[in-house]
Amino acid sequence: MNGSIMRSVVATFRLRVSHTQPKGCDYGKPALALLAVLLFSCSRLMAEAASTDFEAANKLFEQGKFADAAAAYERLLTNGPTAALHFNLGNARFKSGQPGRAIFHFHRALALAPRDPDARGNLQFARRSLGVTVDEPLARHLLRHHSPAEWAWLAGAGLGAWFVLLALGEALPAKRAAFAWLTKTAGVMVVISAALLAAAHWDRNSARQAVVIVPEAPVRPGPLPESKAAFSLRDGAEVVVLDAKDDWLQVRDTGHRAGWVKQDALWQLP
Amino acid sequence: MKTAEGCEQGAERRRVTYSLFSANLCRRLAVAVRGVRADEAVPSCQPATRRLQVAGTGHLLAAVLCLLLLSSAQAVTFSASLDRNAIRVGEQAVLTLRFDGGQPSGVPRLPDVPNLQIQYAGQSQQISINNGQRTAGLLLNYLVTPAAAGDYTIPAFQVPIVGGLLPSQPLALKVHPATAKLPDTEAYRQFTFVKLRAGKTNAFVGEPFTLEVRLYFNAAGEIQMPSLRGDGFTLAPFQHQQGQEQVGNAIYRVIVFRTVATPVKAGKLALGPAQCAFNLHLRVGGTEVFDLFNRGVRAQAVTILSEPLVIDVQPLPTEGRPADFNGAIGRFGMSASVAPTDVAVGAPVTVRVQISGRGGMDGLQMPPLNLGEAFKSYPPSATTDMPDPLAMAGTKKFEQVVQPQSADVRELPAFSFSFFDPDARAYRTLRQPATPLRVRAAAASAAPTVVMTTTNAATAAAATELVHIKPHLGMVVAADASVLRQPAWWAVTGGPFALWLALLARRKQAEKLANNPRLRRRREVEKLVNAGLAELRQQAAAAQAEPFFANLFRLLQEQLGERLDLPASAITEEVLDERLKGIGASAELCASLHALFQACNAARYAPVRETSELAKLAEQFANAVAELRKLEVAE
Repeated sequence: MNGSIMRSVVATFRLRVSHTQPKGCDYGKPALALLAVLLFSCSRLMAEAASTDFEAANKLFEQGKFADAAAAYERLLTNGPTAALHFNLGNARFKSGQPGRAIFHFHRALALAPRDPDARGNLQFARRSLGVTVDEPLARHLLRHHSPAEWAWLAGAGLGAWFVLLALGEALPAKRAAFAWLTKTAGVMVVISAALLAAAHWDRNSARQAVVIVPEAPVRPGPLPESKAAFSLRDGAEVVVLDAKDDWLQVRDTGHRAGWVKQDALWQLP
Repeated sequence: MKTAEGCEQGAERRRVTYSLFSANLCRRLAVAVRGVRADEAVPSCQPATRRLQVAGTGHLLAAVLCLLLLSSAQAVTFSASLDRNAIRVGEQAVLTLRFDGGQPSGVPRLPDVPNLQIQYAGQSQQISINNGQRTAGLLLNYLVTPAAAGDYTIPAFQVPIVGGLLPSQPLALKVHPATAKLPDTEAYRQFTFVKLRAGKTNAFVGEPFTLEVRLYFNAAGEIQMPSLRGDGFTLAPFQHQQGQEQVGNAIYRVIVFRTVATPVKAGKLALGPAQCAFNLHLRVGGTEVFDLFNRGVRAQAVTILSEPLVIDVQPLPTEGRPADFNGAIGRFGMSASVAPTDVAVGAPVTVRVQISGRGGMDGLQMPPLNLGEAFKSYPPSATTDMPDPLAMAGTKKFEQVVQPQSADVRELPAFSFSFFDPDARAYRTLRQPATPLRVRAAAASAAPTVVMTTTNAATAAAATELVHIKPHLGMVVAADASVLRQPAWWAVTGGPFALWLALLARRKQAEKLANNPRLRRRREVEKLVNAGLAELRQQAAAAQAEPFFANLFRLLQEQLGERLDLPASAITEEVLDERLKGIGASAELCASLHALFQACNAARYAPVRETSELAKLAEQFANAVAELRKLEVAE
């Protein structure tokens, strides 16, 4: 977010300079250098301020003021998410007696830092405290060992390496046969990494997940308030979103029961 | 018997049948006694479905004599049985006389029953190994053929053994008319039947017990799960396994369907009959050996019933029932642990309870903790470890997270688990004493921030406590951090791709030139003429007439030679008319080229020209070259 802000600031600044400078004078380069220094200083100051706020929120947590700590963490989220921020927010929500929101933030922390054992452990702990055990298939566990961006970098780097080897083969035709095996192996690796990238993308987008954040969410057969509740979901229940209509979501729980829930009773994972 | 040489190994009983051995022995003895060929002496023992009728007392005598050689000193027991008790006119039942521990001393004399023909059909021997003890049995088979419908009774008869006579029991046989429709259970009893067995016939309300439906058949398919009538019982889904079992003198394939029945009310409750539906495979032609595709087999859809059971269900005693009894019935043990015991206010404490034993494991619940207001508790979770597929024995583990709400909490209260022991017919209570806790105030400085950043995946999977907060904010992730929007990713991926494309294009171009000499010459001539034209213009500007015309002539030869695919030295003014018009050159172009050639020739005699004239010739040459390059020539 900071990068995009800086880019837009620089573009605006260049426009202003080009409109205000007299003909024959070029203030562009020195002005841009000055702006860069200013922006760098501002970003450092903003980072330090965010870090100070984060420590203040941690202090609130340590003092047992979990609700205040959660509110402070939420304010920090407006500057941009970090894995640690979601992790601490999950802890604060859990200790505030809001397991659903805690599970949501542990999921967000894992999305940003998929190999963080602390986030995974706290997610499992929150689930177990609700009497829920979620058995994650091995394939999904492996796919979620990396974030989609990491899979994309892996596939992109593999593709780049493969093209470099192909280019080397073109540039050095006499030695092409010597490293043909390496080129073929790299090609196979590219195909595999592309397949893994596609699988990871499919895994993330095939089924949208959501977490119940209210103490009890009635689930109805139809998306109408007049529809009689078939069953209810407890705070922290994780569901798969099947469909949406107006402010209703059709969900399926771990017991494969499906029904419609008011949208504001759930937080959907991105 | 279906497989006379068959061998069955079971958990309780092992049997080996050696009818072939006895048949061969009989055959040899018959040869010795009667003087006939061995092949004709005694037919080999055949499967029950293909019994051969062996008539004649001579063969029977030979068989009895040979078996006398195998007599032992053990006590002889005798039984007679029919393979089914209801048939139709035209069908046959099989009467089997079984001798265990010895043989008859003579030929058994069967009673005469009016309208019932009883004919000897062969014999076989069975050797059973039961718990390492070997027992031998002789089976004499007779075909019973009714001549008319009616209720028949084969009266008791006696068979001679060494030292006396052994009596049989009367056997009943109901014969229906040939056109009668028998229930499947009766009509196909020869091929299939079903038994219903209960683990116990006296139970308490809520006490689960095992139930077996055993389906016996020779050949069948599309077997459905049995249905069972059980008003007053709850039934778990069936588990099934397959095996073989010997019943009488036949070996059947058997599918055992197991389930757990739990009575929900008291009284003498009927359970069953069990109903099995499947396709019975009946051979109506061909032989098993040569009928690879079972064309001689007919699939007959049948539904057979078992005998029902009566279960005596008693209510649970009210006397001595503990207050915390929640319906657990069986024999159980309990262990419990609490961790951590040194926590801050609001921190989670995990209570783990493990209940092991035998009984209704599915219905076990976490013992109530009775925490009051001092703790906040979450619903318990449960995991089961049950090697028994029917969930009648194993271990059930509970975990419940509680949070002390004040620093005044000193202990986790004691709790207990009560169950009813049906064997002892009494209630039992297992107690877990109170667990001391040290609860610190949340703001106390003695509770530093514990940062567990070194935990690994294994500890995460088994995390039993909430990992504490992290002290560092970390890198902020952009909301639109899609990789496809990052130039670095495109540089890493697209840069090598572009490089490869460029090198590939260069190679393809080189290959194209290498394979096309005319194209290569055209490129070379283009370069030569372009350079020569620039030189011409310089020479014109410098009024160097002699080198100008020499250069112009050479360039004309090179350009026309390339266009006409001739050596440059072969190009003369005469060639223009012969070849150039053939490739589509216009008359103006030919005239212009003629003029250039003539100017070159004239220059040999009058070389001095003005600068403007030379420049004009250079432009004329440039125009001519441009026109020549437009001509289509084959490459």
